[in-house]
Amino acid sequence: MEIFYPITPAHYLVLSAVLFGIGVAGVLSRKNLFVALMSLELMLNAVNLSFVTFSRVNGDVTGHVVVLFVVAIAAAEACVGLAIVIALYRLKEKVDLDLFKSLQG
Amino acid sequence: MDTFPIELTALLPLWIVVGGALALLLLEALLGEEGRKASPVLAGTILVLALGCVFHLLSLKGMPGSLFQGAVVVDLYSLTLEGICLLSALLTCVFSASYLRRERAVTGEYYALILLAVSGMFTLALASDFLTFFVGLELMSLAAYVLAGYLRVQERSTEAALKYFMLGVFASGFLLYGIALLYGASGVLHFPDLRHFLEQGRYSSPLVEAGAALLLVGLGFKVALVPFHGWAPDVYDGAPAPVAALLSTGVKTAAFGAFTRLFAEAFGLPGNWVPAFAVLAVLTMTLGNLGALGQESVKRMLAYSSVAQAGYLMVGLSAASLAPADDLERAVAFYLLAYTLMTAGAFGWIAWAAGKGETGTGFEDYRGLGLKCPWMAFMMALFMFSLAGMTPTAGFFGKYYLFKLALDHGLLGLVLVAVLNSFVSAYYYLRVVVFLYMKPVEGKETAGLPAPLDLRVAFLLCGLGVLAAGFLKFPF
Repeated sequence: MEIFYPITPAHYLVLSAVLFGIGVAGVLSRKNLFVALMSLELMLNAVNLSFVTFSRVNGDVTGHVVVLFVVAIAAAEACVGLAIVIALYRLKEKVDLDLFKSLQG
Repeated sequence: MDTFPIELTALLPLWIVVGGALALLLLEALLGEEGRKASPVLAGTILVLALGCVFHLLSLKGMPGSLFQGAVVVDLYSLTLEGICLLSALLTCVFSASYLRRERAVTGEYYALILLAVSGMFTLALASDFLTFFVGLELMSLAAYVLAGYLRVQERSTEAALKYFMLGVFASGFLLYGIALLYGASGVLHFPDLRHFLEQGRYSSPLVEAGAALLLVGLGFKVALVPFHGWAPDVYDGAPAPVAALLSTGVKTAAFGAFTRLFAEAFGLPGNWVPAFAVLAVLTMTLGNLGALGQESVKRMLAYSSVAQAGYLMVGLSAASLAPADDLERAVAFYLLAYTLMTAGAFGWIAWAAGKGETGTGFEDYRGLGLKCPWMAFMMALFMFSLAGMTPTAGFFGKYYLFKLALDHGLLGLVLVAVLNSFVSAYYYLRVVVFLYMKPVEGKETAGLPAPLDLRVAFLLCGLGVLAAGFLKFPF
């Protein structure tokens, strides 16, 4: 009986799916805006892991290139997201998601 | 023209818009107050210049086709989408000029953001591979998030930006995961290559199905299909009205146009897509219309109406399993043109009529406006008739082409549901007309300021477009 299995691409894909799931759950359930933002970033980075794995399996570099683009886009998104959080904080002095309910119906 | 590489000339509209955005930012930084005053005129000039380029490219014999190793494709469809996005941005610029003066929020970067959003729309409209597609989508969305929260001292605007941002990035995550799975299965990102791969039929992995499903969820969020539409009414309602015009027309045109290309050209739409699209279409039309029925604010009613209108587009997409990609793209592009003219016009009208701080957006606020401002009230009535799909207007022809496409391919039930929905929607669209013309004025007057000349011209063009679009010979 073997105790140590080699790590295969499948492991990376499962890890990526689990991380993506944690990100989705975090966005849906957390009240604090910062945690929600981190969960969004986690989703994008989980996908990056998938891209790198597939790139390795397929033996071409396109996936690696995509990851570089996604990293840049995620950084820009974080910028805009934090700017929105600051604007909200100036209005409300708090950053909880359930405070924002003026638009409904 | 041989002296310039084709990549430069065929993408000239994109270069103009990007260069213009950077120039506007520089101008604001270097000239301050002076540059601020000139920025709306400058932005308008840049957009008109780009529109001229698009028309010139449309008039050429033979399209440049695939460029940059297949990353973008310049054909009649993408050029038409570019034209519609430019139209939407131009109208937004005109609506914004007087709106921002009234709200005392004039800055140069506002117009630079509009141009940056347009450059994202162009990239999206041109995309022929998943990487270009995603980068274009994000470029457009990032500018749109900021625009939604532009009036940052107003709680409604900031809250709209927050909701738009959270749901937008959430959707991007799903979309990107879908792209990753498809890449994993096929090893390609280029749309035609993926189609070639799928047609060989040698794949056996569930990766393709899962990837396609995730793409559909991403699409659902981005163009606000029920059940992924929760953010749309709040965002269109909370964002400044001219921005809502851009978000519900230009942004949606680019996203829907690009998704149509994606599904038509990358997947070749195998038949098993029909049920998924049809269910989304029925849900979106019905719940969008039901949501709009109960609204007391015209702005929020328009927000729900824009959800319902996406449902009519999905009726066309459902038909795409058998229809040639060309027919589908033509019907979708025409509907998007009609939709842009009437919806941007209606939101622009709200921007004018709601008064300072957008306090007058309710039906009640527009009582008797037909007598007080006959010209502007007539324009709004025209947009409402067109949205309801009355005969001589663009809205009717748009629906006609979409539903005919669906009928030709045997989706009778779906078209019946769509027509019934169309009848229901007439109730709330015509309710605006009733309040404009058939209710007496009561005491308070919030709306009905004199309209500046630039607004009148913009509405005249919109109205003429709504009346004439159905009779135009479409460029492709």
